[in-house]
Amino acid sequence: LSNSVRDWVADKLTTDQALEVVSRTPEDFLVVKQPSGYSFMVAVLGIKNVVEHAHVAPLFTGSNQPELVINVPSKALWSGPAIDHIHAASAAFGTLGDVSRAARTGDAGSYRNKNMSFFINAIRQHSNVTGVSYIYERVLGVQRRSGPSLNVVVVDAYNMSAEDVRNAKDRYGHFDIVLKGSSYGAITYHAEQAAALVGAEALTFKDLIRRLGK
Amino acid sequence: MRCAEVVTQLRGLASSLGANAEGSEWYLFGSILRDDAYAADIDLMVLCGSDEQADSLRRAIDPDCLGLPIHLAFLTYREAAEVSAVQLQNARPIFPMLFSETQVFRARTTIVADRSR
Repeated sequence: LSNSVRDWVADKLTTDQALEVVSRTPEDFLVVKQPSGYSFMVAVLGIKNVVEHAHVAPLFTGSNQPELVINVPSKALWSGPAIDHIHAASAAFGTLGDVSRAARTGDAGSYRNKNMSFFINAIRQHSNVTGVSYIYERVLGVQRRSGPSLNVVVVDAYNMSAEDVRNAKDRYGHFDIVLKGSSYGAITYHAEQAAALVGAEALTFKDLIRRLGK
Repeated sequence: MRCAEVVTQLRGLASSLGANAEGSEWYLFGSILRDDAYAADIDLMVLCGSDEQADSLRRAIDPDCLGLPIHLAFLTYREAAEVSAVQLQNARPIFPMLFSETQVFRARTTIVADRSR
């Protein structure tokens, strides 16, 4: 990774997110400080397509270990094994925008996307579910006692549109269910049609819970 | 990032897309509108004339081109009307600009001056 990506991130954190980059570790992690005084280490990756386990594992082998791993560009995917490795190391992952969110927790390593944590916990508690795992950062694999496993894409949208569904298909490939991530708003008629066109269902959380039992 | 700065940059982006953005309407909503110092992204809703335009704009807009990631929502006008997207999200129109803010200021100043005569 060239220093230019780290420099770009350091510049954006300082000028746009009211954070301070106080130093860099020998591993080239950024030491980020909040105005409150809390500081933590951020590893910056520059993976264009999919962040894999092989990209993140070396970050956790040295004496300094990052609390947060971010990737630029933000539209790159994070594979399930990469996410699992980061979480197992008590660290968090995300994009540039997640640095200030993680800073506000006062314990950046424990930062998790609230929506995804909510859905994982809720799905895991369903009586017909035996396991939930990350396939990508927004895609969950749901194993069930009765019925085939389901791939669920969570779309972070207030109103889910047909374009959200087509974009999910372009980004993640096959899925069975496209779930509206917000409890507010609606799914448009064309979004339901777009989902049906790719052999999937567009559902709200309430619909999903019913669907897991079928 | 300040809201005014984001609006200026997004208008520049929309203009730079030329024919791709013609006929679309861009709206800001969420924390950036409130000048929240801790805004983590920029919520941008783009209303499009067709599915093709929505797909084309998704490809054309780099979500990392500003200081914070842009969180994009594309709806056709029909979909936006169906779910009252603009109203329910208290979204503020930023593009196209029917009048520049300078023109609006000048017009208001003129009206106030005329009334005071």
